Amino acid sequence: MTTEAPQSKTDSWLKKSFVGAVTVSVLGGVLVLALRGLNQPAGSGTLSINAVTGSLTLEPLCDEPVTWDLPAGRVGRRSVAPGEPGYGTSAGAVTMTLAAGSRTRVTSPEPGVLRVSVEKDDELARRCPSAASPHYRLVLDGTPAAQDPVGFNYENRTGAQAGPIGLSLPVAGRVIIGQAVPEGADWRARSAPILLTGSILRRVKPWFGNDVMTVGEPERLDEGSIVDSHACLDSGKAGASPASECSAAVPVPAVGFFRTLSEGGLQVQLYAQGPAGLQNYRGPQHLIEVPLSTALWESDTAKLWGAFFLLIFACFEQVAQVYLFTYRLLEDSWRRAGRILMGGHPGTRSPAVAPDQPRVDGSKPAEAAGATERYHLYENVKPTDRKKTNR
Amino acid sequence: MNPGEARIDRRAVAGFLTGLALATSANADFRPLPGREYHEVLNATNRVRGEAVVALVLAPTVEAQQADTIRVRLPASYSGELRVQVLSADGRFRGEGSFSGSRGDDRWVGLRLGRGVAKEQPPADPPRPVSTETLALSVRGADGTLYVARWGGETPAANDRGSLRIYVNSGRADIFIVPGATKAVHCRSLNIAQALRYDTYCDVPLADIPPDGKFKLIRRDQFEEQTQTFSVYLPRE
Repeated sequence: MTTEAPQSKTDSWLKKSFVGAVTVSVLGGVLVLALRGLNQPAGSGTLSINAVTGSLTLEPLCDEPVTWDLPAGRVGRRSVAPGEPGYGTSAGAVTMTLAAGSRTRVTSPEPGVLRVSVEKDDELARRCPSAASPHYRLVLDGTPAAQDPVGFNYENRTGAQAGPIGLSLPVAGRVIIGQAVPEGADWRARSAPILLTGSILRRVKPWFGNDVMTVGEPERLDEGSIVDSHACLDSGKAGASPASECSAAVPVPAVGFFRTLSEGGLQVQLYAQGPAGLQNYRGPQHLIEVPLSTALWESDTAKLWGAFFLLIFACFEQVAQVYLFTYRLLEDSWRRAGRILMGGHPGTRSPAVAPDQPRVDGSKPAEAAGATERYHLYENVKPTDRKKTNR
Repeated sequence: MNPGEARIDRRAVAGFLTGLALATSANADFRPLPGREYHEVLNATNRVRGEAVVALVLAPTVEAQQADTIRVRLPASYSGELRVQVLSADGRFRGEGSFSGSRGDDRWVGLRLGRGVAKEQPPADPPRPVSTETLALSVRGADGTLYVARWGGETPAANDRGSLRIYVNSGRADIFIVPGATKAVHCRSLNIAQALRYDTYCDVPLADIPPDGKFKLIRRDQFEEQTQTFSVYLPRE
């Protein structure tokens, strides 16, 4: 008999430890999952990217072609080697449709000059397995041009024959704004169409709300930076963002437009869901996004509920005690009221309630004078020492 | 013996033979210059260079790029300094070191890079961003002449039917290469956002390399063309 009690105590301690460990593990797992979930990009979050740049690269995503009407200019087939006939041709109206599998670079290095280079990229085409349409389509003066295995170049006419100055063209897909400042290589010097200035604003529609809010400080774009609307598309490549920071969600195309500036360059306005990549000159790329936690944090409804539950959690013991006291008080009052209605005396107890029995030592139970004493009687809790609790 | 052990054994044998070959032929001839031993750095400050042709590499493979030895094709009776550079297209990674010595009988001289770390720079991490497109190997003589190099310690066979990869800094334009008097070939652009050291590479089959090793590079930026010429030392001995 003497050895069983410690054994049962040990068993009980082991059980409690096991249950405690399991509970902590489950709560920890739920917390980690919740934090990871809140770190994911918010579906209602948007990055508003505004920039003045000399160059822009567009990679349309699956089933999101873009069509541009361009002013009169020259078009060259890039696979035609130098010295061979058939490279350049002129057209009064140029329409190009850019689809998934193509990469288009737009530059405006000088006032009134707009250059477009389109190339086919098999790696981009593999992202859309169902894409059967050509990567791009070119229409010159109403006649479709032959496909080129490499791509084509376009340059608008300048001077008296120039087209509209403030040409605005839409973009949809992955957009890269700016380029690296190139090193010299014994070639004739030309102006490098880098990003000049810009900013990124984070906007979010909070949970349970309809108003779109701007959150955080605007991200200022330094001159020479490179902004990538879809930083996670290259997560497998060397030097790109770590894949652990990227979700496997299907990329949503960034949409916007660019406008040619009279002094040269492009004014870009872009809306992307992110994560967008920002790379300052020769610096590492860092991700910019609007996480779910921001949408939650900016929600007034979520804040109110959060404050409510926090209050409940913080004062759980006090709230529970007040609840029990109120419940018993009401129950007692209800019984008294019942007895009055049944013709009994309010001072006599209901037969269902056993009368107080005299104690063994002959003393009577103490009468509860006030509400607090009565509550402690209900709870069979010894009243606290006021001197101690008040200090 | 299970297959895993067999693989390890084969590697060990190959490594031993490579080391033995280098010890007997290459390392005896070329040694690292004291104070300028090969080291690799990440986020290094690169000197601005004015070279269109950045590197000449024979048949690069990712597996060979992980090796710690390289081979370089040198003219007979070459003697003097060799400057080795391993460089990534975006300019973030750079390995650099100098060797000194003279060529023996072997046309392909082996150089053991080692992986020393520069004192003033943080160590490269990850160690070497291997990629046949975005990681190039450049070996130059004291006068700046660019020699054909090869990753790994193996000597190419005399009847090698591989191709020579020429890494070019085009300044974001189309590049065509004309080996000798043959037709111009369109070179391939790199698919990276931040190309700094080079942005294009041209693959030329060894059989198409002219005997005098002369090449012409044509840069076409939209409708404007420029030309450069360069020579590759790769005689058919």
